[in-house]
Amino acid sequence: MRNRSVLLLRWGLLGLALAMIAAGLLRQEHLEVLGKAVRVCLECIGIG
Amino acid sequence: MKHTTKLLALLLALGLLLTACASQPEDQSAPAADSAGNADNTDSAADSNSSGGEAGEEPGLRSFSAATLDGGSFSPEDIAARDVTVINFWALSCAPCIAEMPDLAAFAAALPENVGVATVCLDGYGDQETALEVLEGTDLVSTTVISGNGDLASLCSALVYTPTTVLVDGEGTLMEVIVGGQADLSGTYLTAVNKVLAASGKAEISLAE
Amino acid sequence: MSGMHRHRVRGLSLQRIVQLLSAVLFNGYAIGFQKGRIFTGGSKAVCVPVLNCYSCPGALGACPIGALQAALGGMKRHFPFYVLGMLMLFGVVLGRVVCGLLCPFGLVQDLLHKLPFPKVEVPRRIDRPARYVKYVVLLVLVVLLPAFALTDTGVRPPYFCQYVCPAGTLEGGIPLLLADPMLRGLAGALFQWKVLVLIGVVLPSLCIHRPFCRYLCPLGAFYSLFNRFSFFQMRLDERRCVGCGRCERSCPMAVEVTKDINSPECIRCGKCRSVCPTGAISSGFAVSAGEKSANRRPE
Repeated sequence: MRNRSVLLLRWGLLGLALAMIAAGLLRQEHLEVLGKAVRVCLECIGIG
Repeated sequence: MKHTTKLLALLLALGLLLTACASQPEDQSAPAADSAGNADNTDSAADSNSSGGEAGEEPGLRSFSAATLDGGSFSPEDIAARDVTVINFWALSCAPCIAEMPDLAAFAAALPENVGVATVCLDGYGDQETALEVLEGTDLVSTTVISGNGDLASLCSALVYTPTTVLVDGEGTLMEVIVGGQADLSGTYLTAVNKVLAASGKAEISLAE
Repeated sequence: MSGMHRHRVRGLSLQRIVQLLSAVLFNGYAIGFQKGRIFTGGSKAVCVPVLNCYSCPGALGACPIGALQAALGGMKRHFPFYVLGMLMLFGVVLGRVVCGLLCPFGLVQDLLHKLPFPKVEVPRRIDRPARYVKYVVLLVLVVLLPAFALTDTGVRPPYFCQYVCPAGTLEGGIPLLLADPMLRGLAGALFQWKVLVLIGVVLPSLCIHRPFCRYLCPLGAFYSLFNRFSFFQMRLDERRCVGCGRCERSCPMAVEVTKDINSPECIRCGKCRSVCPTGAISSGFAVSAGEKSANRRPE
C-alpha cells in the first residue's frame, strides 16, 4: 500500500516536473533565466 | 557500484554536451572589459583596446544604428549633435538599474542642451511593454535603445556589469565609464560630464535647479 | 560482499572524483577567471542542479536558487514554471545526492573538514532544531521576500543572493574582485558583510562537517523534501546489519542511518556504504514497485 503511493508520487512528480518545464519553455521563461545569468548585477551578488 | 557508474556516465554525457555549447562564447570584445579594469572606476581613453575593431583607434561609438523604444532611432548623428552623451546600460532583470531610473531621469532633465542622455535596455527587445513600464513618468523613452548593431552592439557585448554608464564625446570616443548603481547619481555623473568637457576643451556645466 | 571499502583511485574516493568532475563541469569556462568576465553562452538558460553562482566567471549554467528569486522578484513577477520544474525534476530523480556528489560548495566544506582541526560534535539539542533554519531561509529569503517585499520600484532584489549566499561570494564575488581592480573600489559594506558570512561558514567547516548544508542551504532544504520518495534511494538491508554503528559514526550529516536512512538530512555521499562491514547499505535508482522501501522488514 505504501509502496504504491510512493510509486504514484514519484512518477506523478516526475510528470508534473516535466510538464512544468514544458510550460515554462512555452512561456519563454528560460530566456529570462538566460538574461539574468549572462549579466552581472553587482548589487545582486553583494558588491556595490 | 552500478549506480555510481551510471551517475558518472551521466556526468560525462552532460559534460560533453555543455562543453560543446561552451565552445562558442559570445564575448568577442573582451578588450573593453580590460579597459574597464583600470585603477579607479573611470576609463582611460588612452587604452588602445578597440570595441570597434579598428586597430590603433580609441574605443568609441562611431558606426552603428539603433532603434529606440518609441520606434525612433538613435545614431551617430545624435552623438555628434552634443558635446557629451551619457549612455546608461541597464537591464529589466537588474533591480538596482531600475531603482536608479528616477534619478537618471531627473539628471537628464536638468542638463543643458549640449549634454545628452540615452539609455540602452539590454533585454528590452521583445519586452517593450515592461521597459515602458519602468520608464513611465520619465522623458527617457525616446532615447532608450532596445536594439542596435555595429559599435553599439560590440559595446553591449563587452559589458560585464549592470548598470554601466559610458560617456562619449561629440566624436563618439569613449571617455569615461561608471560601473554600478550610484548613491549620488547626479553628483557622480556631473563630475564625469565635466571631465569629458574639460578634455574636449569645452566649458563646464552645472545642473538646472 | 564483506569488507566493502571505499573504492579509491590514487587515494581519491569515487565520491571525490565525481565531486571534482562536477565542479569542473559546472564551472568549465576557465578563461573567465583570467579575464574577469562571465560566460554568456546559451547554456546559461539551463539551471544546474547545484548551488552555483551564475556570476562565477567559470559558470556555464544558471543557479536554480538565483533564477528562482529572479523570476519571483522581477518586473513581471510570475509563477516560476521553468525553474521550479527543473528543481522538482532534480529533486524527484536525485534527491540530496546532488548535495553529496555534485555540489561544488559541498566539496569545499568537505575539503575544509579534512584539514587537521579538532572535530566537534554539535549537541543534539542544538543540532536538531537548527536543521530547520534552512527551511526558513528557503521560505523567507528565496521565496517570500523576492515575491512580496514592498519596494519603491516594483522590483525586488534576490535577497538570498544579495545578503547571504556564501557560494556566490566565494565563486562570484571574490574571483571577480581579484580579476578586476576597478571593482574593488565599488565593494562596500554589503560585500564586507558577505565576506563575514562566508567566513562564518568556512571556519565552522573546519570543525563541523558541512555546516552550511545542515543549517542554511535553501537548495538542500528543497531537495530534502524529496529524499523519501526520489528515484535515487539509499537502502539498508536489515538482515545484514550487525548494529556496529560505523555508518552513523562516519555520517557527515549525523543521520541515524540504521533508523532512517532516507532521512531528509541524508546527502547520499555514500560514506556509510563504504564503511559498512557487511555490505548492508546500498543505493540506486528505484524504478519498479518491487523495491522495498528502506527499513521495511523482509516479509
